[in-house]
Amino acid sequence: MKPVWIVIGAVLVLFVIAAAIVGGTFVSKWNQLVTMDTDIKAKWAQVDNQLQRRNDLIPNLVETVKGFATQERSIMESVANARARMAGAGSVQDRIAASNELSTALSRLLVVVENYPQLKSDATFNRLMDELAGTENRLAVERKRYNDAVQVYNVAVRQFPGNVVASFLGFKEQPFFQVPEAARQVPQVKFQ
Amino acid sequence: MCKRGVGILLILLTVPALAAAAAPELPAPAGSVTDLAGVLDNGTKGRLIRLIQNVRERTTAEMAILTVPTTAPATIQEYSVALFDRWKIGKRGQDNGLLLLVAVQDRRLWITTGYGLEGILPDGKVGEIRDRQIIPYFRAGQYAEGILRGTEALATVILAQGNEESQGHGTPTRMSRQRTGLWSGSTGVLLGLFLLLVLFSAGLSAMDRRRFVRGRGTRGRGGFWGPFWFGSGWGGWSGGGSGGWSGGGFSSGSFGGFGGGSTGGGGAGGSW
Repeated sequence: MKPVWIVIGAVLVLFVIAAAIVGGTFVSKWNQLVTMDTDIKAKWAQVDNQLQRRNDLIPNLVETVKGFATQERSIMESVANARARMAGAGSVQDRIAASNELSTALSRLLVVVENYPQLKSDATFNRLMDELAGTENRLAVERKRYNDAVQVYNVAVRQFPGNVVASFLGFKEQPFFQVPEAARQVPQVKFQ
Repeated sequence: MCKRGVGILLILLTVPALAAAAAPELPAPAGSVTDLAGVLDNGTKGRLIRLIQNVRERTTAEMAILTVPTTAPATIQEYSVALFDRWKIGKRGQDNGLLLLVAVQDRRLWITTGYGLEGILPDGKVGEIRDRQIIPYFRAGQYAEGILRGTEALATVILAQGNEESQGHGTPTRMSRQRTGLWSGSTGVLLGLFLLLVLFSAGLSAMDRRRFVRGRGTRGRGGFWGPFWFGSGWGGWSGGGSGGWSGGGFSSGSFGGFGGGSTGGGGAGGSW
């Protein structure tokens, strides 16, 4: 064999190995992104469960409060409207925005409720408040788990070589579920 | 080519590390009843331990009681969930754990239910027990009595359900979050590819040594493998933390630990 053939052969082998490395990295990164993406979707589904659960609680809550706090019509309406928007929101972004709006409306309602001692001693109202507080807590838990998953995924999507794979395959950064300060006060039930 | 495996491992390591970073300092359990605030007398503590033992034997459900002076800087809800996640109260797969946390100085309590108990102990029911059995005693400063009465009431609900279910199969109300195996099919394929590459590179380096050593043969293995470890910068921010992460519950001393259950943050609480 002539030396030139050996060199060409070596170059070919090198090329094949380089291709295997690049291809292998690509495939493993791809799989990794798919795993993370699926994880985020599963965690979002848990968040969404709790959003839905909260939406289901609100009509009962509004009805109960209406019976006692007749003057608070505008707040009731803002809660009802926010709930309707929540129900209509489709994308993750929209649902996060609608959820924050609803949280704000609810916390206003809960401030107002403080002025109605009769309402606060009502058994139905108290059970609803417990369910609501529990749901808010579940929502906080699932939100944190979702955000943790998004963080890991977003780093992978932005870091080399993940960014190359991600842009090639159309993996985009996912939104965090951020809660504005105004809505952050978890409804607290106080017992007098 | 085990990067995917490494990636999964990193996720597994990173997530608890992040969670731990945000969590407050959490105590280790001294048993099913951990009285760090010192509000329980020995008699009450013994009764609580026997009651909890009884519930565990008859239904597999695990109850844990913790009293602390304060949960600051975390809220009692955050503290409860973080603690539940750390202690892993309840049986793995059934998630039938329950945590009664009392922060005496904060004048707050929170009862957290595992996923598997949410069905028989909905938040409203837990709130009712809190209002009827716990809060009245706490207001009078009788913490031991309140904790005992509350635990008895919660245990009664769990036992009633346990007896119903002992005939059939106790189905958890929610599927436990699935745990992905590290060695899935595609990982195996990648592993095969990896081995192939190792063989290749062994052959290559042998050839390398013979053919290229004299010329410009400074390209070492490190340079060749470079692209493989590009991702290793990851290790930087996942490092530390989460030491001793394991599937099972937290255990210390003679206490056998809890069963590996998890919670979604259900339950009820409040202040008195």
